[in-house]
Amino acid sequence: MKTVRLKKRKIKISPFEIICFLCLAIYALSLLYMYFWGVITSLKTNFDFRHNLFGLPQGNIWEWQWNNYVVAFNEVKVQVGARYVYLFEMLFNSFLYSFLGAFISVFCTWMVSYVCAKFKYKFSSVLYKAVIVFMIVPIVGSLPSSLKIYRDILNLYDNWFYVAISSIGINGANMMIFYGFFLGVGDAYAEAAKIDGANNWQIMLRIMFPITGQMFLILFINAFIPRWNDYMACVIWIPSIPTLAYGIYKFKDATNNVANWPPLQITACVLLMIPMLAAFIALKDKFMGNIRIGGIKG
Amino acid sequence: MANKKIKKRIVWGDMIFYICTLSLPVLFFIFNNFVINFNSLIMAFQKTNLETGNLEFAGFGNFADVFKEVFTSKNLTNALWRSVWGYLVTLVVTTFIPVFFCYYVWKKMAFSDFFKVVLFLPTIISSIITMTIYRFIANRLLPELYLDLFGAEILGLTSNPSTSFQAVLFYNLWMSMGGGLLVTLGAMNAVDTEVLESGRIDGTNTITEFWHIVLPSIYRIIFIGFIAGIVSIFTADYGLYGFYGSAADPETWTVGYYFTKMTLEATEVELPFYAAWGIIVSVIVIPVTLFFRDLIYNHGPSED
Amino acid sequence: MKKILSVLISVLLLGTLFSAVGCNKEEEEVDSTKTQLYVGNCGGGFGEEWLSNLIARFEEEYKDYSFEPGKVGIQVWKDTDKTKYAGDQLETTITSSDRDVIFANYMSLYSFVNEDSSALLDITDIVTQPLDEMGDTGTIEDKIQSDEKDYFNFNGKYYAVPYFSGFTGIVYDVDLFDSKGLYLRKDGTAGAKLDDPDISAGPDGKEGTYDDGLPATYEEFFEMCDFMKNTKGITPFIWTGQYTQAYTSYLYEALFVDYEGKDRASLQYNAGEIAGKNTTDLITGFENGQPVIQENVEISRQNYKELAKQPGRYYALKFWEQLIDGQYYDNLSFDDSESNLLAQADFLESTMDTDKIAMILEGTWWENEAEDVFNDMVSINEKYSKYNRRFGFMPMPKADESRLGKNVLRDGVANVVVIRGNIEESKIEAAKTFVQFACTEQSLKEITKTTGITCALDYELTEKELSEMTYFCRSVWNLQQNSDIVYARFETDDVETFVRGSGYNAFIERYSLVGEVEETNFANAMLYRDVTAEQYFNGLYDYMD
Repeated sequence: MKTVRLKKRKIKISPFEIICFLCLAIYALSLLYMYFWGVITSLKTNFDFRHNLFGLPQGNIWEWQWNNYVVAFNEVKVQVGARYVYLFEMLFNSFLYSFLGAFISVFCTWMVSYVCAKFKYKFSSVLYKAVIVFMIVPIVGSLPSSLKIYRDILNLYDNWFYVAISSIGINGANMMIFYGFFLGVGDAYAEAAKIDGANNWQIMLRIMFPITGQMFLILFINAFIPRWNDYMACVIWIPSIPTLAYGIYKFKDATNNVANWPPLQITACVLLMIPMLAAFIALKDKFMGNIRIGGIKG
Repeated sequence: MANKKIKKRIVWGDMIFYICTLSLPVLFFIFNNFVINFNSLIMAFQKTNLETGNLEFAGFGNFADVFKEVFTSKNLTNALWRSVWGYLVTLVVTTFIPVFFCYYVWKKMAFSDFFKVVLFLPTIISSIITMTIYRFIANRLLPELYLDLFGAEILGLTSNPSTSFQAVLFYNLWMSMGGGLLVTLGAMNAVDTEVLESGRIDGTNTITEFWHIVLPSIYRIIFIGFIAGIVSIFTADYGLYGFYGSAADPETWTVGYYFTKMTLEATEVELPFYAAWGIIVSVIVIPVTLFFRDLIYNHGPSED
Repeated sequence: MKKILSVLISVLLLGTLFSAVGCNKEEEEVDSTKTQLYVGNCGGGFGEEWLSNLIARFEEEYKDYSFEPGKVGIQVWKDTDKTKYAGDQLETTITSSDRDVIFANYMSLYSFVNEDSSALLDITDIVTQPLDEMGDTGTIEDKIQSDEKDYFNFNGKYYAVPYFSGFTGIVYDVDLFDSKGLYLRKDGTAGAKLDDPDISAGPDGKEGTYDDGLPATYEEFFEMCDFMKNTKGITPFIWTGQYTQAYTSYLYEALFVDYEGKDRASLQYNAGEIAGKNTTDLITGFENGQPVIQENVEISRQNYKELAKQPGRYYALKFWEQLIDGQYYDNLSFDDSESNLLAQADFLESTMDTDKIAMILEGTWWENEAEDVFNDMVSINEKYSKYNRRFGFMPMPKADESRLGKNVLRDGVANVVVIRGNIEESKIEAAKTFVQFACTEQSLKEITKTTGITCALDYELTEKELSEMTYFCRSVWNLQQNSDIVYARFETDDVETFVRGSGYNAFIERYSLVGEVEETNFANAMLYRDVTAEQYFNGLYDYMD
C-alpha cells in the first residue's frame, strides 16, 4: 500500500508544479516579509530603527516598544478646521462610511435585480440591458462634471449625505449575479406566500432576502473592503470626514515632532490593519466566498 | 367581471410596488450615468468669460486646447508613454502570471490553502498601509542591502525620479498578483468536470490539461483584465497619489495621475478643459474596448 | 475548534487595538475657583518646555491675585501644535479658536489688522506701559527692535508683539571640525584646528573673533568640502529629503540675504516702501557665463517683481550648483522618507560611526527637535549630551573676498504673541498680564536658557547665563549679536502672494520652466536634470515675463 502511494506521488509532482510552487512560495514569503517587517519595526525605538533595519527589536520581548501603539493611537489625527479628528472617531467614520456605502449599494442592486427578474415588464429588460451596457462601456473623465454637480450645484460635497446618496444606484456586476440567481428561483415560494396573504414587500424582504442572504453577505463584504481601504474618496469628496485610511495617508507625511518617526508611522499602519485582519480571521469563508459566485460569473 | 377587477387591482399593486422599489435606484442610475456624463459633454463646450464670469459657448475651443496640451506638454506626452508602458507590463504580469498561480491553487497542490490566504491579503489590507511600509523598504532597506552586497550607494528608489516610476510600478505588480485570484478560481471551478475526467482517462498531463482544457474555459475571465486595462491607460495612477500626494515628480506622472491631480487643483474656470479631456478619452477608449471585447468573446479559442 | 481559534485571534487583535485606547493621556482637572486662561503655541522646533516653565512661573506669581470677581489665582492651559497656530490657518480660525493668547508663526499682521477685522485685541496699553510692577525696567515697546517698530505700530496702536527669532542656515559639528582639522588656514587651504595659530580670519575678515577658521568665501567653502570628502572621508552635508524644498531654501535664503545685505534683502518684504532704502542691483542678462548687472535700480510697488533678478539669488544658486556638482551631500538628503528628525539623528549619531557627517541644514531650533536623539545617545554615553557636544551656527561665506564683513541673518519664522480679538471681557486682564509677563527680561532669559532660541526683543544675557547654555546656543547668540537681521514680515498681501508663491518663502520656489520640464526645486533640478544656476535663474526670468 505504501509503495503504491509513493508511486502515485512521484507521478503527480511535475516540473510545472515545482516551478509554480517555488514562484508562489517566493511571492508569498515576500508579501509576508513585508508585513512581518512592518510589525517588528513598529516595536522598535527610533534609535533601533536606524541602526538595526533588518533585525528583531533589541532587548527582551517585554522591552520592545509596545508603547508605540499607545503613542500612535494618540498621534494619528487629522485636522478638520480648528479641531482634530483622532483615531477613534476615524474608526467610527470608516465603519459608517464603509457600512453605509456598501449596504446601500448592494441593497439597491439586490432590490432592482429582484424586481427586474420577477416583474416581467418591458422596462425591466430595458433597465437590465442599460445597466449592462453602462458596465461594459468605459466612460471616463466625468470627475470635473461630478465635482461641479455634487459640489457646486447640489452642495453635497464633504458631508454624510454625499456618502449615502452617491451609494444609491445599480452595480452592473452585482446585478448580473443577483439577476441570474432570481431567474433561477421558482415562483412557488412567492405564490404560496401570496396565498397566505403576504404582500410584495413582505415577499421581497421576508422570503427572497433570506434565501439570498449568503450571497448578499459576500457581495456586501466585497463592497465593504474597498471602501474601508479607500483613501482617495476622502481626498476628493469627504476631507472633513476622515476615515482610518485617510488618517494614515495624512499621517505618513506628518510634520509633528512626535509622529514624524518611521517606527511610529509603521505602528499606525499596523493599527489600521488590525480591524480588517480580525474580521478576516473570524469570517474567512465569507471574505473568500466569492469563489463560488465567480463560478457563476465565469 | 369581479375576477377582472381583482386582476386589475393586483396588477396595480404590483405596479406601485415596482415603481416604489425602482424609482430611487433608477433615478440615481440615470443621474450618475446620464446626467453627469451629459453635463460633462455640455461643460466641454463651455468657457467662462473672465470679464462677466458667465459661462459661454466655446465651440471646440476646449478640445483644441486639449490637443494643444497633448502635443506641446512634454510632461503629458511622457505621462502617456509611461501609462502605455505601465499597462503593458501590468497586463503581462498581473493578468497572465496569476493564472498559473490560480491553477496551482485550484489543483489543490501543496500548501495551496496557505497560498490562497496570503495572496488574498493585499486585497483586505489597505494599499495606503502597504505603500507606507513599501516606501521605507524601497528607500531604506534596499539601498542598505545594495550597499552591503555591492559596496555602492544608491538613492532611495521611490525618491529618485529616474527610478521612482519603476519602483511604484513594481509595487503595483507585487500587490496585484493575487488580485484576480478569486474570480479566476471561480472560473476554474466552472470548468466542465466531464471534460477533465475524459482528459485524465486519455492520459493528459498537468501542462496539457492546463493548456487545452482549463485555459480555453477561463480565457474570457483572463481577458476581462485586458479589456478593462485599456481604460486604465487613461485612468490608472498606480498609487502615485498615495505615495506622493499631489507632489509627484513630473517624471513619474501617468495620464490618470495627471488628470486627477489637475482636476482636483483646477479652478472652476479650468474644469471645462478637463471635461473636454474626458470626452476625448472616452471617444478613443469606447470603440477600442468594444472592438477587443467583440474579438475576444466571439472569436476566442474553444476547448479541444 | 478552528472556528473558536479564529474568533479568539480576532478578539485578541481587537483587544490590542482597544487597549491602546485605554492608555489615553490623563487629563488635569479644571479648578473653577481660578481664572482659566488658554494659550496656543505654534510648536515645531520651539517645543513646549519653555511654555510649561513660563506657565508654572506665572501661575505661581499670580496664585493670590484675582483677575475676575469671585476667583483667586489662575490656571493656564496650553495647546502646542505646528499647523493650528501658523498665520495661514489662523486667518480663518482665530475668531472661533478656544485660545485666548496665541504664540503664532508666519503671521502677516496686515491680514489680521485692517478696517474689516477685529481678529486681534488692541494691546497698546500693555505694550506702552512700564513693566516695573513685574520687576522689570522700561516697556515692551522699548524692547521691540527699532526697525521693527513701524511694522508693529498701526497708527499708534499695537496688536502684536514680536516674540521668537528663528534663523536658518548651516549647523556644523565643532568637535568634528576641531578633531579632524577641518578649519581653514590663512592661505585658504583646509586642515587647521581651532588652536592653530595659522587659522584663517573667517568671513568677517577679523582675526580673534567668533568665526575664525570658517570659510570666508564660496571658494574656501568648497575647498573645505573637498578636503572633508576626499581627504578625510567625511560627508560634508545632510538635510531632510522629505522637506527638501523647505530646507534647501533655508540655505538659499541665508546666502541670498547675506549677499544682498539687510536693506536690499528686506525689499522683498516691504517692496521698496521705505524711502532711502529702496534701490538694488539687478541682473539683466548673461554674457560669456557672467551676469550683467544693472546697478541701483529703484524698486517700488509698481516694479517689485523685478526683485527676482537680484544678484544674490543668482549667487546663492551658483553656490548650490557647486554643492550638487561636487556631491557634497549624503544620499539620504534626496530620500523622501528622510524626515528632518531622521536627518538630525543621522547627523548626531554619525559621531559614533565611521561615516561622519560634518554639517546639516537646519534652523536654530534644531536642538529642541533633536531632544529624543540626544537622550538616546546619552543612554549610551553621557559625553553625547547636548551640553557636552559642540555645534556651531555658521556665518555665511561670501561670494568673493571683496564682500567680507558683517554677517546678515534672516529671521524667517515671523513669530508674534497676540490676544484673540473676541476674548471674553472677564479674561482680558489675565491675558494681557500673561503677555506682559512673557515679555519681561527674566522670562526672555529663561526661554533662551531653556530652548537656546533667541527672542526678537531686546534683552541681555550675562556671561554666567551664557555659560549655562549649550555651545550651539552660545554660537547662535554670538552670531546674532554680530549680524544684521532681516525680518521676514510681509507688508502687504500682493507682495506676500508673489514672494511666497506656493512654497515657503522664496521667489525661487515658484514654478520655473527649465527646459520643458516644470521643476519646483532648484536642488532637484540640479541633481536630476543637470540644470545650472544660470539656466534656473533664466527660467525665473521666463516665469516673470
